[in-house]
Amino acid sequence: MAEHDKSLDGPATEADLEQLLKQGLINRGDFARGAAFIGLHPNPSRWFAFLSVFLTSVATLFLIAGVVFFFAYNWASMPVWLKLVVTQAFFVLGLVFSWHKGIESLSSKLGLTFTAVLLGVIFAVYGQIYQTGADSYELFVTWAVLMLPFAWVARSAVLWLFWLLIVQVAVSLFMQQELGIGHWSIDPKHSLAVHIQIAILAGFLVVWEVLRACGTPWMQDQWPARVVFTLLLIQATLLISLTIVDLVVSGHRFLGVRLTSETDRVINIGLYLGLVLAAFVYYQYRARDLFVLSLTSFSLGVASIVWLLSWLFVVLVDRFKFDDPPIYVLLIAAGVILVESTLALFWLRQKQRAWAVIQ
Amino acid sequence: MNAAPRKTLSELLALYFSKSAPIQAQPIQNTQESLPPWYVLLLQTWGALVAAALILGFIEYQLWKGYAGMSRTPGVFFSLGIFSYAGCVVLYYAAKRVPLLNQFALIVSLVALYFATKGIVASFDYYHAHSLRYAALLVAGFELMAFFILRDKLRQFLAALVVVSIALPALLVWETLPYSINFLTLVYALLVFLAWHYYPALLKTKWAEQAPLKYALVFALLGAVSVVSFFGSPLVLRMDSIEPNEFHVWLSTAGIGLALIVSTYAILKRHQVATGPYLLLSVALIAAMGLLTWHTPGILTGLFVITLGFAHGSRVLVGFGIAYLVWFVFQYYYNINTSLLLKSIALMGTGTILLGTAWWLDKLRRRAGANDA
Repeated sequence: MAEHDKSLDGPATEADLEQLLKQGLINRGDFARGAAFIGLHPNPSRWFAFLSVFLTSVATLFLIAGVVFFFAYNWASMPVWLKLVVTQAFFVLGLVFSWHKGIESLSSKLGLTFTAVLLGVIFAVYGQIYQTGADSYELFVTWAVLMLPFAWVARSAVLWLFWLLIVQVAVSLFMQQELGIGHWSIDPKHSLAVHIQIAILAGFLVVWEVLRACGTPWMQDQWPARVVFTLLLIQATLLISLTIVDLVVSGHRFLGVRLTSETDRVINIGLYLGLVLAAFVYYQYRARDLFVLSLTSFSLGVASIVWLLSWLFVVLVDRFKFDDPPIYVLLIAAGVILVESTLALFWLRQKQRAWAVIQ
Repeated sequence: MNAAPRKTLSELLALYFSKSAPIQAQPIQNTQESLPPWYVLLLQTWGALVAAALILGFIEYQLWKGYAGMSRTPGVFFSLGIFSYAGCVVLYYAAKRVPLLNQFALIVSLVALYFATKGIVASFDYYHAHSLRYAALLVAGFELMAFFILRDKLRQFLAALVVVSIALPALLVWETLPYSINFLTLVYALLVFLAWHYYPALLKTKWAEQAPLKYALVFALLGAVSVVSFFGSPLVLRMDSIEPNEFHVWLSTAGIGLALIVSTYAILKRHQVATGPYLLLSVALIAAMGLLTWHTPGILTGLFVITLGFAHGSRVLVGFGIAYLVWFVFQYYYNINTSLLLKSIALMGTGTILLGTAWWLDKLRRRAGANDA
């Protein structure tokens, strides 16, 4: 196929309209007509749809926040039975509303999200009234388990992401309260907490991507996978940065402190490299997502900066000549970043062009 | 956002030209390259900022050590900045299509911006307010030059942002700040409206390809409203023991409300419904929102940016608008001087009204659909 034909078959963009206008081939009226034709300017039906989605989503958020605040107030003068009745009445109301609207509608999905959040509120109110003495992780575990049917029925990415959040909180609290393992503490044994969180996120992402690749209709949007991948990569980048600092700096003769064990360092490096490699392969050849590729390039950039600056620190400490430190290392670091960012940009732009042509 | 069905370039051309017309080939071959997505630009900015910071660290250290005995002379910084700007311009012209040099020029120009500002500020009495204002204006001049000369979209955006935001630091040192900043938000809001709604008109002028200006204006508006909200918030006012009404935040809310009304009118006009119930309803809703949120102008600003973004097919603006709106709604409820119980009732009440509005809009849409059929 000739280059010219590829452009013609590609999606029309705002840039095309601008080019036509600048060349004097169309006037401003034509520009507006073309903008409406290619969907740049929404028609009344899309306006209504947008407003409906926007208002319903904001309304749901307001209602959820209102109900949570209502019970957070712990209204002393309200009888116990009334507290329980009100929460459960809201719960039933949410269910009836969702059932009435039909499961495929947005209102129904938002109604189920509202109901799923109310589950947690009901447990909180119950705990508030009876002071059961249970650990807080138990509330989150029960909440996550009971929320599963709602997420399953709603087929809503928002609700699944909320479920994932509750699971993460539950696991984190369990490790803190039962095993005494905190998150991101300067203690070798705490790597386990991060490994488990990464494993949960990675597992969720893999299942999500498999189901998406199988063509599950409601999973076709890119944003849920992007959100999960971003959370995953933030944790992995923090982990690798800590490991790099540990490898370069902590073992130094002036400090002599190790933040992570030998095994943990191997696991951390393996986890990070595995994640980066998997992202580059899968999102380049299979799922085609420039966002993930950009984010992964960014993470690699951060890791390299951490390494460079740690190394600089070691060099400075090693020389121990503060009157004449090897400050030129800053220029080397700047040069490395320049080359890295340019290569990443060049590669990403090439991908963008190539994928635009294929589309 | 409800996505529109994608149309191909050939379908677009068929809208304008008959099949026999031979002109199709020309615009297609020259079709300019689309902008990189925002996250790619963010990656570019991040790389440039970190590299510029490291270079600055190196130069500042050398100057601090006093290699050049003139390290305290403002002329050193000023010359350094000017030479770097000049070098940058030469570099851009010489290598517009070489990514490495392009990125290098971006880094050098950021370093130049720092030293030019530092030189100008240092040349005046540091503690004298006027020096900052002159410095701001001179830097704006340099950046204006960079905006027209440089071809990198990101650098143009940064230059435009510096130029249009420069009024803010200039005003911050004036005693009239509490009043003038509200006026500034109104000016920004109207400029944003003009730049986005009359963009095709700009394309026919020498301002062609200056799309970064549109985004820079929006970010300047968001910045100005954030400053108004910060200084006008009850917490800051309490800390500084300033009179609560000194900042007259309601002026900003009124200005942005006005811009939102004008913008809504333009959108309704686009669909030939600028008169009658739709316009009245929109004005009434905006006025009601303005009255309810007079002390939090960020809420109307968020709505303004979302409306603008959706009307012009910019997901980036819609995203930023939503994030901005969520933050200021949170701030609004946090700052209400009432009990948690009343706050929760207010939230549930607002939620119910919004749900009712959504339901009513849905009904309207169905009725309109039935009439069309």
